[in-house]
Amino acid sequence: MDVTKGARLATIIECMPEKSAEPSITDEDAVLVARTRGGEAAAFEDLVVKYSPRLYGMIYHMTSNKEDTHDLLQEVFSKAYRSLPKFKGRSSFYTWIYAIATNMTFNFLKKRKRRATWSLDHLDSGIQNDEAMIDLTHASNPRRQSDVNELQKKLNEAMQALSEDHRVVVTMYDIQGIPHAEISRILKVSEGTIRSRLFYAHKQLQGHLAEFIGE
Amino acid sequence: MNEEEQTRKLVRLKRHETPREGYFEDFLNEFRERHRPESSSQRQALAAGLFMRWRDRRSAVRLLGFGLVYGALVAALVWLPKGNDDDADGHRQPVIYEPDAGGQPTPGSEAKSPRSFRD
Repeated sequence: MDVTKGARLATIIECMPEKSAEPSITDEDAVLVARTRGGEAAAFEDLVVKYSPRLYGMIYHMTSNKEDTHDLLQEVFSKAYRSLPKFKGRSSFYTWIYAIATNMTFNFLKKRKRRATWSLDHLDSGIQNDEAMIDLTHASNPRRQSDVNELQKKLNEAMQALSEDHRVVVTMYDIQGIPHAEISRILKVSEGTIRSRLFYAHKQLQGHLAEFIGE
Repeated sequence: MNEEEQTRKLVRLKRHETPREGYFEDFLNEFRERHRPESSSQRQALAAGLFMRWRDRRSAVRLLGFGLVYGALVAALVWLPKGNDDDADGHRQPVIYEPDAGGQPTPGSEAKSPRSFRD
């Protein structure tokens, strides 16, 4: 693969419509939380519908495995549902559930590391499952699909090579578009620490993805 | 575009990794299914708790009833004989009229003589 291929693919994909990265945090969440506390289980389901795609993204980019992501996400919502009486409302529901999801993901990754059977072969490469992506790549050049797959594989490996602290900030900031301040509230570390972790993570990623980066 | 920007651009490709269509609907259904037994068992536990409380209360009422009946029986056995003077009279000998030869009543007999009866 020539050195500009990655950059070219990135340019093509950048032209695709963006998915909204920032959740709309409104009083709606507080109302739904209050209704859930009042015994209305359907109100919590509205919160599941609202936040499952974002949390799925965060967990998936941390684990690079769909089955693990699915199970973990179910557990995150179950824990949030059970812990809702303890939710004081000092932070937004969005920050609170994101913090639960990140903590549970960190714990899961620690356990997975101890499992001898797990290896990078278990990484999923889900980008080819994106219909819009397949259409775009196949329509212009059938070979491009294999390039995308290769890039995807390298990206996943590069992400998994990062430490969990670095991977989570890359996931939240670069992939999910969450601002530094919000990441700082979720992870309970300073914004300076977030910026520093991002800097070092990008340096490390550059090394792993050098073949896809043009001059 | 510098290397860091290019790296970030490549990493941003991952935001297009999405689960299959309909995944989140299925996810919600599974979440509902997982929590249905939980809430149903919670309801069962609540119902069992209420039944136990009702049963305990019923037992308490029954126990109180037995206590009251027992108390009433004891009271009847202890107090009623003492409280009725007629019962004391029950120890008295029956009136027997047995005229002896002298026409006097037998000693110890409270029966009146026919003479006095006639009076």
